[in-house]
Amino acid sequence: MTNLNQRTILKVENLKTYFEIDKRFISRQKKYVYAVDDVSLDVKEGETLGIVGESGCGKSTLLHSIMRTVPVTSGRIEFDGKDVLSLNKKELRQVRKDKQIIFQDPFSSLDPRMTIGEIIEEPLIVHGVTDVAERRRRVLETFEYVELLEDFYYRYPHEFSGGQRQRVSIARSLVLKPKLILCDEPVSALDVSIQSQILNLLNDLQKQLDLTYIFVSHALNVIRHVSDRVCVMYLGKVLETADVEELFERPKHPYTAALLSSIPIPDPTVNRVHASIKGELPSPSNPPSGCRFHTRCPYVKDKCINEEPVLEEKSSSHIVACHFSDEIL
Amino acid sequence: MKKLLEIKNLEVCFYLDSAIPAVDGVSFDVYEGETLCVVGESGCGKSVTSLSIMQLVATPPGRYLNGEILYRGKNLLGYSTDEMTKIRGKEISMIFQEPMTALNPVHRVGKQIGEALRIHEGYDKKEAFKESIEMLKIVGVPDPVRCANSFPYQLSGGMRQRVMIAMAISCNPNMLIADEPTTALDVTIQQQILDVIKNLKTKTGMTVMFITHDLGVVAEIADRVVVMYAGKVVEEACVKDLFANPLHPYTRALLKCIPRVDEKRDKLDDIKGIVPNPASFPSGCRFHPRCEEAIKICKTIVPEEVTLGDRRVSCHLVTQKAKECRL
Repeated sequence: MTNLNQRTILKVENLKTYFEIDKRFISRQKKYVYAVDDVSLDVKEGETLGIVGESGCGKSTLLHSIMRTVPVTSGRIEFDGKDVLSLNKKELRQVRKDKQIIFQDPFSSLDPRMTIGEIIEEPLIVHGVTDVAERRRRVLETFEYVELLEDFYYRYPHEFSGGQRQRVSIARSLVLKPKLILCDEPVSALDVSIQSQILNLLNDLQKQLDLTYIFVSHALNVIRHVSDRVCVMYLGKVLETADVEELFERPKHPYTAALLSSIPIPDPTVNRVHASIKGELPSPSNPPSGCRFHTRCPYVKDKCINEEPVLEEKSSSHIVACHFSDEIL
Repeated sequence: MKKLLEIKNLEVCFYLDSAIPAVDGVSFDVYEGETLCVVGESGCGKSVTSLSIMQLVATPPGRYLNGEILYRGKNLLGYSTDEMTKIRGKEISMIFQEPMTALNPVHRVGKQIGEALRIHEGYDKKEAFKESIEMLKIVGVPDPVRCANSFPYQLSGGMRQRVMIAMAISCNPNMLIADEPTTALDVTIQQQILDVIKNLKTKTGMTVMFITHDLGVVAEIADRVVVMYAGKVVEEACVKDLFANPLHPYTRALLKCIPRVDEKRDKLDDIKGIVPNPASFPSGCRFHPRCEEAIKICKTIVPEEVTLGDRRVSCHLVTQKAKECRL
């Protein structure tokens, strides 16, 4: 699906989002959680960029930074030719029309006191569609897209199951006809049989409406299914970016390789050796020196502890941040 | 192989606003030394079944309407609270999905692990604490002394789950029930926890009943699998047969609808409709509204269970085929 001539719709450069912790009046040193630490990425029109990583790697914060729903520390976000970080409130609202977000938990992201119709209509009111009949027409049009029945209009979220609520969230994000949709783990709260329905729906919508997705998930099987390109994050950093086939077939970073081998495959006849990673994710408020993965990396050398690797292009569109990727994998 | 646990026609119903038959006529056996996986989506009754074994279903609102749970031939459902206390932790122990809510936030984990030892083995406080450090070593905690002196909130999800396992195995139980122990964890940590359970099994020969919705995990650790749907067992088979030749349409659909890491497909085969609400299960075969192969009879008549060698399945299609073969 990816095409080299495609226009870049979103460009993120050296994005840093730090959260200050220990906010005492007088403190000797400011402490931060380095949630997103120097991330750069491009998203091309019409593609799906998958972002994968363990919990606490900063993937959700990255999405929220792109939405500008959290204050960004430094960096540059260019969406559709506009510098998002320099916009004022009014201009930002205009830009937000074109990029929408779908959240993980469809139980807490829908207002229980609003009907389904009101929930989906609200973005239209916010963005100044004053004609009531027009609003209703557009809401019902989105109903069709996400395969909801018309008589759900006056019903409340609590009457629906997780999968249907997720359809409502998708409808809410679609109603403004955005170009880019940020999906923050949209299927991880759902049952497996419902998961596939939502994934297929997102896939169909992308083709129908020419959408661009950034799809965040910790489930590698889901990422493989939906993405055109994949970006692997660890402790606020991007470790590897590549086309989906390339990444899953020929991972070049030891973390990606370990992540891939730790996923159970639903086939008892496949006998795999697990290169299971020792230890746990270090705290993002006190990240390790040098390569952030060195504390858990099976191939760690002195250089990894002292020097931080930079992202290098190994082959076309395959970028890796590892000192020894050529030797190990 | 010897049967360690037999569940016979178990029916558990919750009386809330309406009667909710969470478990409706479930039967299966657990053999000594095996790993049995119970698979199903939310609301299929897999957790209630496991809680029933430990007699941990809150009554009321829950009620055991029918059935027997035989542990070494004795019916656990007839046991008094005191008798059950002797079973819990000593004979059968359990680990839960969310270790943070299962651990007591105001006690150090060493004390919590030692509690079972003090109750069942008559250890005193100091001995129990020392032993709990040993237990933490067994489950692969890197700094067991510090861990034993920590409170649950100071530990990460993976560590808490290890603490839960250490607690569960402290008295060398015959059987371990693990209710979605890895669902809340990251994949790399999930792999570590699965390894811990596998190693324990080879070391102690413990029987494991593993409840999960992740078929990948099933393929990894199970010997036999029980598939549940809407409060009933729809299929039971050994793991190789189930994955190679699933007989029930639900199992088949479930296997086809998960995206896989090792291959890319254009479109997933999804299962239509939604997981049924336990308050109003469909008539006949409970899977029929979502089943692509459903025939007329599925709507009205509950399918009977067919035993085929060492596997069981409840589906009209299979019953018919079996009849044709015999004729």
